[in-house]
Amino acid sequence: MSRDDGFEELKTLFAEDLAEKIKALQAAVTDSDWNAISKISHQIGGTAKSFGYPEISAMAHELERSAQKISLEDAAELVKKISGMFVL
Amino acid sequence: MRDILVVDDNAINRQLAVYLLKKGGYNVFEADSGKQVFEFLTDHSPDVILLDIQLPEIDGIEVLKRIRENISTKEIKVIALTAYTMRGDKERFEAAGFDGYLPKPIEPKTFANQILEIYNS
Repeated sequence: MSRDDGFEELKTLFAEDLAEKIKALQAAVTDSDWNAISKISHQIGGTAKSFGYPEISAMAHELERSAQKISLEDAAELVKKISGMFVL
Repeated sequence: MRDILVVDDNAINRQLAVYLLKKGGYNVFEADSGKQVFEFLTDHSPDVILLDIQLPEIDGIEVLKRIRENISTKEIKVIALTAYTMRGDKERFEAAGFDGYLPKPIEPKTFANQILEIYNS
């Protein structure tokens, strides 16, 4: 396996993980669970840019920072944007 | 610098860090919790520990505190690796006793060099 294959494999894992985290984030918004919103967006923000998704990182950081200071509707809108930016 | 322990409960980030550091020629070990760090340190002495702050149960700052309290581990270089990038965070981590601070997301192209620079500083 070449070095690049190793990174491609990681990217696949990242994509699967992100898809799951976005679902969890949507569920957290539905449940009004601000702790989960903050935690999951923190994790997404800390990873996405490394794999070529700087906008998702930025948006997730925005969501983390604004957690509990914005309405659930606005949080849901941010999650929708994050989800829309992620295309496999 | 040869042996590095990467501590992160986020499996993707941890695997990315491990991948990049192995590619850089280092011996890399992994842990996903403070408990695993303490177990690892009972019979290992890495040159550097990359320590995530947001860990379950025992957070990174408490893990660092215990590393510094133990005579056999207190000299290990410990670098904070975290997505906490708000104003004042860098100072907070330095005050806690970290030897350096790397904000997430990891920048693949420069990651290994950033660690080496902190280690040599």
